[in-house]
Amino acid sequence: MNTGNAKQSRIFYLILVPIILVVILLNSGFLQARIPAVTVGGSRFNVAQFNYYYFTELNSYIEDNFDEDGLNGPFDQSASLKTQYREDGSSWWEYFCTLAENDMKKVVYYSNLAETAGYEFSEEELAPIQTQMDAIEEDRLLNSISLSNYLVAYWGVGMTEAIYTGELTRQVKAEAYQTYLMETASVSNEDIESWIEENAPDSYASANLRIIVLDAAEDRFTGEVEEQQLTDLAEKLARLVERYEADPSAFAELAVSFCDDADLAEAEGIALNCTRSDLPDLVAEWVFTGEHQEGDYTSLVDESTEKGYLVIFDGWGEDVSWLTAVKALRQEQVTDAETAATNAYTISYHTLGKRLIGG
Amino acid sequence: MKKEKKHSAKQAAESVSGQKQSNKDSFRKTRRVVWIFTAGLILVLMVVSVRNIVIDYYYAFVLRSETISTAMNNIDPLFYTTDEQELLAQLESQWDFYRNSRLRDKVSTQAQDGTALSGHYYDNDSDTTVIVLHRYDGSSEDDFLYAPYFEECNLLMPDARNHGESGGDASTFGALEQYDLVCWLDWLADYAGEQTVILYGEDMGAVTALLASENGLLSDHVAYIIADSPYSSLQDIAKYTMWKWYKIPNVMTSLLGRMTNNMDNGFTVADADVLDNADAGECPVLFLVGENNEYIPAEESLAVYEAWGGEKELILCDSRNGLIYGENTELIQEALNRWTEQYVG
Repeated sequence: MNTGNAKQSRIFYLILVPIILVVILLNSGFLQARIPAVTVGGSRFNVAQFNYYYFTELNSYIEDNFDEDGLNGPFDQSASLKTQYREDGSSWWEYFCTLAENDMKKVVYYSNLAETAGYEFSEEELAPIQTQMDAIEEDRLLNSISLSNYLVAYWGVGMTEAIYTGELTRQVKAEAYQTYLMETASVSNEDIESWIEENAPDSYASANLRIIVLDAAEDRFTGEVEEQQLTDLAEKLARLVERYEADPSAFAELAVSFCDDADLAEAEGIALNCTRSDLPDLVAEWVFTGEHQEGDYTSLVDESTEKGYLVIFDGWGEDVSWLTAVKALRQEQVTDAETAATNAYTISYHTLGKRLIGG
Repeated sequence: MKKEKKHSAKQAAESVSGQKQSNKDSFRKTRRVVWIFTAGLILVLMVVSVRNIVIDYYYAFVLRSETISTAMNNIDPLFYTTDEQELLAQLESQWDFYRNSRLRDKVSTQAQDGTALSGHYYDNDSDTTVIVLHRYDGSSEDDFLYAPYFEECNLLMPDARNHGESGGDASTFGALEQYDLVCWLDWLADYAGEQTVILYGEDMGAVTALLASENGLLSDHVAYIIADSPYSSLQDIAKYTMWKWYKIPNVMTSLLGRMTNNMDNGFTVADADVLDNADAGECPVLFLVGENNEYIPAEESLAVYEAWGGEKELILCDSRNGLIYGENTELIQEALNRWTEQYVG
């Protein structure tokens, strides 16, 4: 009997207890925050850090491709993504891992560049960090759960506030530094002239406009914009025109009060140097066709964009072809350099960590 | 020797017996102490639990903190039958057409205690405005199915304090909202000039309008009130609701009321009692009452109707919550035609 008890104790302490401990550790997130998952371009990411990028891509994809209830979409969210496949034969898990790898490559690349250059980030450049944390705070309060539970629910076991804000900061800084490079890269006059010649200079005529955009409502039963909603929109636009005509000097107030485009509302409806490509086709058609005088206006309901527009012509803008060329060439230069560098990065997964990534 | 032995044996026996008795007494004392301590501990825990429960409900219902959604979720949601949904669908579509085809101004004013009040205004270039006072836990974004009927009127839809985009830390169930209504009436006069006003209120909104009237706060510009399912007093509706949906006994609801009174929210439970002064109400009121209303029992609304001192009419139907207008549209519109002709002109 004593031998039997001793044997049972041995089994318990040597086998079961370690298993139980590992299960507890795995579910607590302790391991995920420490076990390395992948090394990208020489930078090591642990499982929780990898999951930041993985789940950020996954959450964004779900928001764009699933219905409001999260039930209908390209894959079953309740089942493992490792066993659900895309049309190209890869699993959804592999797909999001690839997206995460691309994000990490970008973060590593720009982080290294910024550090080498001794770049100091401004408050404005770092503002998106707090914006994102505020959005999370608002959402978690709405759902009455703690921040730690919220992060685990959306970014996997092991995600903590420290890890999340750490990776968010790295990502925001990477994007900020990329933007800085795109705004300051040197391009030659010859390159600019060549670019303009190749890219149809007439496309870059521009106009100064004032615009108020109204969104069509969705039918509450179908969730779509139906014919009735476009009719309602036309009537609403007509009332807006009435108000404008009653007091044209109040346009700015009307824009702030009613414009459904937040950026335009903030700018009081003013849109300077708009090129054809900046505008919806229907609006561009009116602006760049025929002769207009300052103060000419029109109201348009665009079925393709499901929006209504009150557009006022305030005169022709600057020739933006040079600026457009500079912007395009800088973007090209920076992204080409990024691609060349990050394509040379080695990505090596760590065996145990790879099993734990993606939830 | 034998005697000594006997004596010592007897002594020993007595000593043991005495010791046993002493042990028993000691044990009983100890047991009594333990029972008293345990009972005391249980009592303390019960008092603390009751206190915590009362605090939780105070935070949920009066302060409408983040726990309000959990609290409201515990109230059985109202499920409409397919027929009822179809009935409402027509009215909802008409409301959607109204709302989507008009410009909606965001407006604001300030309450007498400095609370920021927000709302929406549909300007139909009319000299009559309907002010819509929403129910508890509603907002200015709620459907107003009567809007197409009143399409010739302007429409003002304020957010009650501590609701929607209005400020305020506490909901007062009509007690302070009646004064906020006065501020809105002043705002309307400044914004749109002299207006004839029709007040529509549901639930807490109806109580707000009725309290304002019976306390002499409404001007002659207010033509009449449409009171949909008002409760008679905060105390009564709280007791009904707390027991029906949360099984909280009246004693604890009274504690909740006492706690509310003791907090510095600017109101007491008694301030939201319509029956208290209903006979002084002068504004004409069209009462709409559904006998099968799960949330505001018909008896509450009927008590207010009976007590109301001004001109009044009652439309009593067997509708459930939210279906009075849908199921009795023609009847109510006919009444509104008469009332508008009589009191608006």
